[in-house]
Amino acid sequence: MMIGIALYPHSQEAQAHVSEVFLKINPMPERLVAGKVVTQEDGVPLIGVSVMIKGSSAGTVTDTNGDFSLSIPDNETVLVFSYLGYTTKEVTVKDERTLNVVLAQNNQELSQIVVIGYGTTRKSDLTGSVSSIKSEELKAVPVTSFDQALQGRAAGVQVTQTTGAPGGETNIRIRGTSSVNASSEPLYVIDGMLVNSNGSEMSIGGRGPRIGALSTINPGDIESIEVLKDASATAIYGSRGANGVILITTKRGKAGKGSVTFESYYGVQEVANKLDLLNATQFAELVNDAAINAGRVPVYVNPGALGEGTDWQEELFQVAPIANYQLSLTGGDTKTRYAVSGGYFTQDGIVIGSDFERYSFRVNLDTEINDKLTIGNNLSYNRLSSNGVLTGPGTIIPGVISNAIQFNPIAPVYDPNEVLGYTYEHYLKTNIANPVAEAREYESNTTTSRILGNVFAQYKITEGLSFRTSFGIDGLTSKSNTFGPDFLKRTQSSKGEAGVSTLEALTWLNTNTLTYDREINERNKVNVLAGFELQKFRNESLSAFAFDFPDPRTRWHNLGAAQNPQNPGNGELQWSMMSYFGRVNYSLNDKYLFTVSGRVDGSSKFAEGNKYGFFPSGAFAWRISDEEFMKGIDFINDLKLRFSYGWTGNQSISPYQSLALISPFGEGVFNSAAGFEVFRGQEPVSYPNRDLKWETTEQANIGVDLSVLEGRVGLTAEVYQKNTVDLLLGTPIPYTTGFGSTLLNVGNVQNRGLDLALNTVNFDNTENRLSWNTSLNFSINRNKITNLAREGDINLGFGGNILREGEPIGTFYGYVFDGIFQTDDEASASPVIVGQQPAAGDRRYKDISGPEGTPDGVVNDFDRTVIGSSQPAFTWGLNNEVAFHDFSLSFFFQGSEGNELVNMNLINLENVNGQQNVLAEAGLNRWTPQNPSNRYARALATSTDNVFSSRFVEDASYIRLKNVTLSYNLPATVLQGIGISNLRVYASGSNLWTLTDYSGYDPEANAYGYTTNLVGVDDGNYPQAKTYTMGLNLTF
Amino acid sequence: MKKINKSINWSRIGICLLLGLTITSCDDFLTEDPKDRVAQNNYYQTEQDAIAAVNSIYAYLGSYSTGSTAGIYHSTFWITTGLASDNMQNNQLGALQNDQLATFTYNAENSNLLEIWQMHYKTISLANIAIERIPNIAMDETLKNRLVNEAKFLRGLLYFNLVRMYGKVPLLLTEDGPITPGVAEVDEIYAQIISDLTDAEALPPDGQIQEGRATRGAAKSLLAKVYLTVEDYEKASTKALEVIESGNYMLWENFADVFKLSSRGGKEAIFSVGFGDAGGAISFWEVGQFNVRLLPAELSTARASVSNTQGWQVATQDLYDAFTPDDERRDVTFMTEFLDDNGNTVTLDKIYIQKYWDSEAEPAANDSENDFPVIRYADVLLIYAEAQAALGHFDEANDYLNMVRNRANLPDVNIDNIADFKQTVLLERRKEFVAEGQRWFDLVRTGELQEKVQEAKGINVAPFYSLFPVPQRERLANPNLPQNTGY
Repeated sequence: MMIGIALYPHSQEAQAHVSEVFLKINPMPERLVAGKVVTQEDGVPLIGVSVMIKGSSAGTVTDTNGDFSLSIPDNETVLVFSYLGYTTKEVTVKDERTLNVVLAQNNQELSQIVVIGYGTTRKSDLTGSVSSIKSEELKAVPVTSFDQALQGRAAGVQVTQTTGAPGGETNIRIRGTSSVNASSEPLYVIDGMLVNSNGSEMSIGGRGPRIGALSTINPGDIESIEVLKDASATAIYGSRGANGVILITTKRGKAGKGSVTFESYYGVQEVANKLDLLNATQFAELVNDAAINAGRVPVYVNPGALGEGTDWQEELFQVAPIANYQLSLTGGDTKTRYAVSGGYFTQDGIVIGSDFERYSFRVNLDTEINDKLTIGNNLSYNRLSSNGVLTGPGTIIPGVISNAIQFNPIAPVYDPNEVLGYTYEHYLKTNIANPVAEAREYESNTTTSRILGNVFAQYKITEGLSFRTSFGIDGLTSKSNTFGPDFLKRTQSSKGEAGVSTLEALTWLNTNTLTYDREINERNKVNVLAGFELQKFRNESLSAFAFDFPDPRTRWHNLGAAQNPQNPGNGELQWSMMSYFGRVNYSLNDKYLFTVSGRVDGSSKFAEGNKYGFFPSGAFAWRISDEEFMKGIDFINDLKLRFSYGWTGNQSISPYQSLALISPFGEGVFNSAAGFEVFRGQEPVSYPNRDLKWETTEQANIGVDLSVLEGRVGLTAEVYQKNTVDLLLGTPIPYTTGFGSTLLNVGNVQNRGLDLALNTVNFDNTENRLSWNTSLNFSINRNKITNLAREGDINLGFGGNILREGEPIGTFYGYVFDGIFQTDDEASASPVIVGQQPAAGDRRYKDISGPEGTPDGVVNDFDRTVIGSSQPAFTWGLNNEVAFHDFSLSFFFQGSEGNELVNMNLINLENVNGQQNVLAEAGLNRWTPQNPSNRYARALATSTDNVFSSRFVEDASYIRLKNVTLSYNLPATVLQGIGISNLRVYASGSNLWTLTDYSGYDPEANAYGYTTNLVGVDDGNYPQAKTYTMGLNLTF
Repeated sequence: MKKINKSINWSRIGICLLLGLTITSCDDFLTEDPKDRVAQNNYYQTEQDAIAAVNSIYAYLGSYSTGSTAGIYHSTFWITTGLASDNMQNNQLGALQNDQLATFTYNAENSNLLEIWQMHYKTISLANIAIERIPNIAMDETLKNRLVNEAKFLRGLLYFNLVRMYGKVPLLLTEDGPITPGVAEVDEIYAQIISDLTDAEALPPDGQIQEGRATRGAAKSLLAKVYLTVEDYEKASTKALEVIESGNYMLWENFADVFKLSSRGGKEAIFSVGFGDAGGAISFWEVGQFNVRLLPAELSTARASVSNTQGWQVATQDLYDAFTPDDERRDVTFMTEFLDDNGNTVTLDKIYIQKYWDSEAEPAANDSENDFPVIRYADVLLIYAEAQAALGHFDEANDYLNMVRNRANLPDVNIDNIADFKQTVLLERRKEFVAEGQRWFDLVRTGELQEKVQEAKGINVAPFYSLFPVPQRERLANPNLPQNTGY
């Protein structure tokens, strides 16, 4: 009581409150009431149900048998029974001595508990924009990493699967891309741990697509995912909130009968789509034609005799297994609850030589030491190992996909005359290698171990006021080994290469919060949070490479055996943050909800004097449906309007960028007859920005939540505008400075959009046990660079990507392809690109402008223009669930409309110069005088036309049947006899069908997926797989 | 008492104390202290720092070790000035930038021209740091002056390349120059080059400084070339003669000796850039490219000992035909056939350049450990001859021209009119300096670019090609850069 008074020293209300409590706790006569609480569904006793005397703090909880006993005042008393996930029940006790209470599971959306930053709230009390995804939804698709499963599940969350490689990274954008050079990936918070998902800080690299840091988290352990979208929800994460926040909550034990769950699936994957290329005969004819057109002699004497030749895609791709096994134990009593799980996941890639494997363990415990003190932990250990193949653009030699689609179909895979029997040369072009040899013989494996977890203690200081402290670590070690034997094309000059790299990363996080949660009276409820947090990240990396191995048998295991060892490299990175945050939620009459929150963040990454930033937000929600004037409108069950406004930041850049640093860099040799003298230099390695600070994003959000027809139709609609200022922008600076670019706080980006989520119960007939539910989400985001702080564009140099004021991030820029010259006269009379002398059958480009702003008769720089954008008009996801008796069928579609993709593969796949294989479409329909085409150029061995033009830009809209699952729950009557409480078997297919006009492997490809600003470029990407699985879930 | 001028945030300190964490101070918690790099504030303080600062400039001439592109004299520079002339053709499949140069269809997007610009200014920025920072370091004064003058020599050399290739360019001379500088007039740039090189004349002569570093002789030779270019023939003569009379340099007896590995840094070398990995002591991004680029690919297939020859650039027929059969340089310079491992003759369908290959010392050819000759003594002799002729001193001019001719086993000439002399010395330079990055400069300097390219390649070269375009990327980043006429 003293503390209560101390908190409200001047409040008369508090005085009154104290006396009221006093009266109720010390009534005159008492009596005992006892009873049992069971579930409505199956009559199972519920353990740990809170039984409280209404209007007082006296109460108890049910024991392991669901029983309780409690002293109550000897008059009419109301008992409140509450349990997470069940509808709270009030029972009026008159003179009963025993009481049996049945609690029903609460499926009402409104009283769902939603996880928010540093706390939870009821969905009905939310003022900010939060999307929740439950574990059932995540389970539907077999994935290596939960982020992949988020695709299409939440409005405003755009997930792009940029690679089909097992364990590969995804690209997640919440309400658009708000940054250009700092990361635009959201912040991930796993059970309160602010997790570093920065691939360059948490990944060792190695061959092939980078393993996503999130793939170390077992999706099977996840209970729910909350996506925080607006400033009110994210400002509590301050300088890391601008890209949205994804809160992941893992499964915890519940008091009750212990349960053992075994889940498993097994499946096969195959490449979802293959390209149609020329066969050997067709290719030989093309090579001959190209030679003849260039005035050379034909290469192949009898193309017809060559037949089909080698299908290099068929050789590179495989049907690959995928399997998952997970065993979970959960349970507990009134004091201690546990959730323990172990899992094993294995996946072979659809490209030979690639795979992924994960072992995962988790222990989550909670225990109440006494009435005041609760302690607990979340702890997971994951170990993954993977083999990678190099895909994407590559250096020296492109990745295996590019090789496979270009390699001469006349050549066999194997050539007994070569070392180890692989065909070595393609002969028509120097930088192509045998993809089968590259994929199979260039070894690259990565193993990663990660311990992620925290321990916490929560102390109830007094009713409503509690202090919680937690200390967490995220420790990651990763090791990557590579070896390329000397007989590969890639290792031609290195004469064999091997490397070993390691990375050790550790984050520690200490979070301390004080929460005051109080119903002051019937009308006023308040929840106050204040916190302080410290976080530090450090990593250390070491890599050693060596060239020229006379004996390949020791592979990477003996780098010392190399004839040409390279300099070892190591590095270290550190950053730290110190933060203060707070939030006040105030609810008036349950109708008017106010939230004010904010965070002060100090970051080591910024310059002295710019280290601290303040990020406040405010929100108001109005539950209109609770107003008097709405009482008569029966079909509306809930209607809430929400407004929020605030500021968040982005500080995800590499450390040390505000410092000028000197490093050893160049070295060289002075030669003379007397021998050589080595010299080494030191020089500045970056152009320092001494004024560097975070980006700030201002966001306004208006939302409406509507539930009608007894909750059968639920709609959430939100509009938002995000303005990001002080953009951390890697700005190209003239080379005259000695550097190519530096990070400046310049420029603004705007994202505006609409998020819609609609859930409907279309049909629900309990008698026939037939139901049909649909959920649809739909997102529109309009991205625009509103200020680039310079004249002209930023040319990003890949795939025609530019940044231009007034255009979105992901804008493509180039010449406009204008068909094919049909006659030599037409070609000589038309404007052409400087340096080219086209003839009939060559490509034509538009002369749009010139120095005077009008077409000037030549095609040059003035004629390049915006030719497309990777920004979709809208993205959507649609899930249907039909249940009939014990069967249920779900089918989930997902798509993106209006986005374009630069298909860089066409540089080769439409290049009919006879140096590489091409698309059958381009090869067979190439321009000839007899068979003129207005799309595909003539075969010409000497053709050098590969300028970047609109012909590379393709519509990459798609509609995808992402998943179909048919499952069967064995009836309880069958199971009861054998001690099984639940058995579900299912068959599922993923990526079964895609409707798109895109001509490459996959419309979601992104060769530079790890970057923020290079988007929409497909360049030899690892293709997506189609997956068929069978699985079972078994609970004892 | 020390005055506390920082405002104290009591709440922060309070919380730090409360938590009792192992943080010495809350402010330190957010201070960056990189362990694997040195902050600039702690640098340029010792003699070692001064030496390293100048070494970093040299490193960009060769093939620096950790970048993604090669240093200035690695290949792009001398290929570009060879292709954009009557000397070289491109034989590198898919290297559009090289095709464009060889056929005079290049524009401001040409990647070679951007790389040349970028690497020159990178190196100049390091020279500027050295020139500005080293004088403030407390160290041996002699060494200090030498290091600054080495940096000035290198800065002069690089601006000399730039002004000839691009004309008016930004003239940056300090560490913290403007981010978007305007251009300087050509005269102003030459004045600075002459000033830097004149200072560099104080460098120690060859033999009194590590071979490979800039010397007094190198400064004077380069000055002679600069003066010749700006048609100050008196001064060109004076400086060339000072080099000749220094007694530090001589021609090798045979032309073939010039390119022996054992001749690196030898009597004919005035300023060269070293390549090679010093027996494995350092790891270059790539060693030199003389052999990889220039020797025919057939060599690697026909000889087991040879690897990785690509034959990316070849000589024009016109260049080959410029040599008379008795010119010793022809067979040293070119390869038109060779013997395979079985002793059979392999005849090549193109004319390859082999002069950098010391096949006895370096049979694999892949290592390309030869030095790149930026200036050698033969150049000084020809500069002197040309300058003397321009001044009307034909006896002197013929004597020095004949020194170079005689070494190639050619008879004396005796020319007494300036027009013929100019043509003869231009031809002599062409034959002497194949693939040494001289031809485009010589043709532009003498106004012969159009005519000679027309003769050799049948290409009609527009007059504006006497300057290269300012790279477009640079103009996008710097609005103050004008483009050269015609591009």
